[in-house]
Amino acid sequence: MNLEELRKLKEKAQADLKVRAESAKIKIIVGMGTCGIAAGARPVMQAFLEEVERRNLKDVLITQSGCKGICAMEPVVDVEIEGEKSITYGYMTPEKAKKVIAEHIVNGTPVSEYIVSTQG
Amino acid sequence: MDIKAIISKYDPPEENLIPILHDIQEATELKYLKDEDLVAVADYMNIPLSEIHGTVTFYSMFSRTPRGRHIIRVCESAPCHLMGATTIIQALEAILGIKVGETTKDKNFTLELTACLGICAVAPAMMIDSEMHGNLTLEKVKEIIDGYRKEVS
Amino acid sequence: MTTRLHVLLCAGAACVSSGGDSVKLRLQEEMDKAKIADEVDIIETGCMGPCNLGPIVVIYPEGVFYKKVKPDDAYEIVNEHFLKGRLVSRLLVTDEEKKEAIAAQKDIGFFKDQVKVVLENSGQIDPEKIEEYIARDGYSALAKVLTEMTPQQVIEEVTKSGLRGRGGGGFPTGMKWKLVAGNKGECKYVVCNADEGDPGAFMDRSVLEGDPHKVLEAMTVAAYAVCGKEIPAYGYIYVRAEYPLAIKRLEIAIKQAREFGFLGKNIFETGFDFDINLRMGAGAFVCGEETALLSSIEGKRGWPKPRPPYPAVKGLFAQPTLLNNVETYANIPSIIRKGGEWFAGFGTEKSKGTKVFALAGNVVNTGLVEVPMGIPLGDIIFKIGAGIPNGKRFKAAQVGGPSGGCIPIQHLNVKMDYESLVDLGAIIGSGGLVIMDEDTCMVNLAKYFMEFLVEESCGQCVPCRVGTKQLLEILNRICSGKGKMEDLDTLEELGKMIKTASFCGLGQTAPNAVLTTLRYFRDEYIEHIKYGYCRAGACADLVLAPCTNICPADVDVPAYLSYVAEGKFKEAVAVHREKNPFPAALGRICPHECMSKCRRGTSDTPIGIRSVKRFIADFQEELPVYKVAATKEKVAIIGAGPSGLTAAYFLAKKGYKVTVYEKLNVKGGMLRVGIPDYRLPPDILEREISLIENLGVEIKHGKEFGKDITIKSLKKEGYKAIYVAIGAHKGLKLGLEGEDLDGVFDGVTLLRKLNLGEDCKIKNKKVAVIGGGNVAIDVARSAWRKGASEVHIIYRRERKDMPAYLDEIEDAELEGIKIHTLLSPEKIMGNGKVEKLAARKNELGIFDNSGRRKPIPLKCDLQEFKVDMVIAAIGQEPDGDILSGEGLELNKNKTVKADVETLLTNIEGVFAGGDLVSGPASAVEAIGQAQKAASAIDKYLGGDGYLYDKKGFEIPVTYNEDAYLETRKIFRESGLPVEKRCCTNEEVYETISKEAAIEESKHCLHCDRGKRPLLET
Repeated sequence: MNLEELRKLKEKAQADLKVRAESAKIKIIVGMGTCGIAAGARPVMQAFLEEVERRNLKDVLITQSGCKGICAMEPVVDVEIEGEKSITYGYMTPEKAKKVIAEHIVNGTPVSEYIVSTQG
Repeated sequence: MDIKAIISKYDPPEENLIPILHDIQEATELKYLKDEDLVAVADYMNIPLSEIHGTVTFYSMFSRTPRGRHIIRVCESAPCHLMGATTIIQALEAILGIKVGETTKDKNFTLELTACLGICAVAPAMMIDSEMHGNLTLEKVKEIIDGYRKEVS
Repeated sequence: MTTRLHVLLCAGAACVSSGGDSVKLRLQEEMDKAKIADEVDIIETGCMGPCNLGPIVVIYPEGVFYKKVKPDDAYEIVNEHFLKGRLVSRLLVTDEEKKEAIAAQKDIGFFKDQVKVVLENSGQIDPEKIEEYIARDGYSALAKVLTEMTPQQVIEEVTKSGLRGRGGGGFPTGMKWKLVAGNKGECKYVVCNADEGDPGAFMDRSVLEGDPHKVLEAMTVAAYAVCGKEIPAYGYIYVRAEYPLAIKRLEIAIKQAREFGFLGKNIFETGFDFDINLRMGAGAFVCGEETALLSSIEGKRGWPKPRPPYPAVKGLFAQPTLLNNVETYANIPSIIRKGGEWFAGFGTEKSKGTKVFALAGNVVNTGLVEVPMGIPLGDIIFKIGAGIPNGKRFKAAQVGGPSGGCIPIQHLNVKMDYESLVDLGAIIGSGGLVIMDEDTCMVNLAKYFMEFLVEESCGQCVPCRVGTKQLLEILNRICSGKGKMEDLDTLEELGKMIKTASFCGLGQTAPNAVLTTLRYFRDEYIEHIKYGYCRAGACADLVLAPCTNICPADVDVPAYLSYVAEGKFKEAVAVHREKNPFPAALGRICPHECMSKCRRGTSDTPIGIRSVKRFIADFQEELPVYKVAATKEKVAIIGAGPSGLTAAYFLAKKGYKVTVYEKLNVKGGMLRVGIPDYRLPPDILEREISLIENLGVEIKHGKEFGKDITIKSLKKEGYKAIYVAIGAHKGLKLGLEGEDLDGVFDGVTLLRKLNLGEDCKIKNKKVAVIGGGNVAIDVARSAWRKGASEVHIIYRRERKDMPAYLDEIEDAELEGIKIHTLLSPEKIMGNGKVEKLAARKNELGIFDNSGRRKPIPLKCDLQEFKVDMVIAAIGQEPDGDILSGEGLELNKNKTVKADVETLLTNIEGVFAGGDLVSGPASAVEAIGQAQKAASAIDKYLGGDGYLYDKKGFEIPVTYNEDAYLETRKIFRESGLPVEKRCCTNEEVYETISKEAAIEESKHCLHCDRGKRPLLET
């Protein structure tokens, strides 16, 4: 064990513990109410998880919430980026999820055609 | 387990005496230290037998008499006392038909008291072998003992 | 695939002992069924702190905190929360004040005021995974010291932090390290004292179970600091055998640390070697003492050795040894990483940093709390601990284990640091904090601790071995009612002697529990010795049954309940009247302390004692007639209240010729004019008083003390003894601007007027009542009944602090009376008559002597109430002018000075009792005083003072008791619906039926059984 090894070990371990950090720069919140799930929120959630893993994205937290009350637009996903307006996407699918990751999370440009509301 | 095998895991210096005694006691069916085992330890470690006796009797967790297969240790420290340990002890005595310090006829249980188990936040508490049980009530005690009884029968 | 949820399951010993393991299994099962097992990680952590809420599950990323999770909750957690993101609200902690569920762990009151240094990782990481420790900066302190710092720099940093030993001694850690570093030896030992033996302390266990690597890292840092790279260093952790889980976790941690190269040879490629061995104790408290511990590691009996030489010079195997306890070590990595100054930023001048306290006993939130040193004791108990459960009162906190001391209610503001506690005769010790409520007998507690210490004394030195035994003998004697007053001096002398003459820390602190209880609870010792009375109801030899024990009138509750259970109502009410002639009145208005002590109440609803009492009194159609010839001396009683009339009752039964002088034209005193008719109808009261009159007691109305009759005039008339019991009927003034406006009243006066039938013109008025006691509630509810359009109660503290009886407060709220708390009136405004009341919001500050927080006015806008009437109900006092005019000696609060035992005043032959002596109190207390006075007067006049048989008889039962062991629903009388209560004085609650009374009584657990002779039938 030397300092460099400890540093690497720590980085890897911290990535595994990210979920417990409670705060992350980027939060992706998938609406997982009954309506959301019925509309296909689970594969959307899966897609987000896979993409984040595949691209090895740091500081992105994927979490879930209950029904937001806009059931007609389910699956609904909120993207909250520190210091920016929170954006709600509607009618999500796994494919759209991949696009959101690629354009919004990675490149910083929200996917305007999926947006149903903007807050904050 | 063969006593020699246990002893030979350790080096002879006296600092290993307490760990050896713990091991032997744990490996003995009725959880106590037999005369001949102490003699064997004294020989191996080259410590006078009288000194080993002194050490064994000093520590309350070593027993010179046979005990049950399961050792029930009820915490009698202040928080447990405040939260009703006395009633729990009485209940155990009634359920097992023995007094504190005794072993049931079927050699299944020995009832002992212990110093603080450190789970004061869920007092009253007891430890059976190395399993902790907290927030004891009369019903819970009965359930737990029933569980062990089923296990041994 | 990345996991999206981390489920943290507390695997601390307390949670495991309450069933945490099976929760994990079921969660796993349900997750498999829902096919989400690969999205969710279950992590078993060390203790999270609030052990009373266990088994605890915390779910990240949201940080949702679930309490008391049962295996059967797994389905809902998985299917609702994990799958749908809906919280399982019934498992959330609720905010008692706001009555709403709290989801996030960080918002729960228990965690809010805590600062986590030692416990930063406990409950956050899986202690069996070294990677998780590393992720939270683990072993980076070790890396830092080995690669960047000299041993001297390390010691300097620790010194700068101001850290002091957390095991009890409080010795500065930096200084200790410096001493060991400066001593020469062939090698040195770095030892961790994990023999956490103090009952009630469990922070070390928790650290070892929850964050074992922290201790390993700290010991390695310490080894480097005291040895450098040249002198060989060896580590030992001495753990008590009572902590199997801690041992297991340490074993795993040591193995991992070796594998990763944090222990062993050439650590961080710096040429530094160090390894740690684990040693297990075998059940000996004294091994927590440092020299005894070292002997035990050497394989010997754990006998303490004389110091010097100190271990720092000649310790383990005669080499210089550094010995710190677990919590002390656990502070080190943070101090190294963040700097000594950062650490010193917490705490007080002499006590730096944070301290972990183990909260246990009679407190709502039990568990581990880490707070900056110097935080007030009361904050820990009431803010973090959420106070005392079951509505009981705080009595004392035992700090620092058996060697510590008991801190009473008047010292709730004490700062929790080394020095402040020593000033009170306690020590911070290892940080055990056992909270005790009113049901704890302090003498019994001292006895209990002494039993422990006698058992654990190693026997080497005489003062400790023999002295503790003698202390115990005396305490045993006192607890069984056989103590003598001189025993108290002996306890003190002996205690001081043991403290100075004992060999080691155990003996030197052994008498602390006795000495502090003597210091703060001497009254209780005296009560045991002089009256054979244990107010807490804990000393078995002195207590017949908890209900009877607490009753100020000593009423034999088990006996009358037994009679009722057998259907013998006449006998039952006779038992009551033997000690208290007011069963019907008190069956309605008694604060029934008996019920709060009822043993059935610890596992079920307490017996409805008051309701049964009321039934037996109401059921009896014809009152008994006692025939006693009045042959003895003339006795005058002044005041026809509960105290005066009860004294008259007992004295008349003894054959005295008793005359009662009363100022008003009605009988009953406060029972009649202080308690509204809807709680106690006048005809019920009159009937009970007629029984006393039938005994030959004459009541003369319209006789005011000090005017129509005086002590002198009565003596002249031939009265041989006088009992003054005129109560406290003078309402206290608010002392505010505008108090002389029309429409301002005092509570007792208004109640008196209303009870005597005056209208008082309340209809359609808006009324503000100031105060939180029973008078405030009574007057508010009476005003509402008289047709007030709005009734507000304004109280300066919080609702839970209101001295009024809880059921009365609840009834008032039910009737629509608005209670405004944390508000103090400031001025009353109006032109000639009341128009507005202005009040100021308070916040709560430090604790006062009663254990409640003092209200402090806030600098803010005044709150205005548009009202027509302001009623001050902030207390009442006796009329001091009349009393001093009669030559009676008074206390500061204008109550009469009377001997505690005989109630004799400063004037020969004149006794005083009731509210007049005690200040405003309950009727049953006034009755208790009347018994005392009657007995004393009898003795004074040459009698034996015997009023009744104290012990009585056990009443045999014939029903099948086993059929009544199951728990049952809350017992309460049925009452008038709220809409029918307005504008009437009708009694609110009904007398229970015969059948209900019998059924209820059959639930009595007969605590008196075997303690007195069985009545032969």
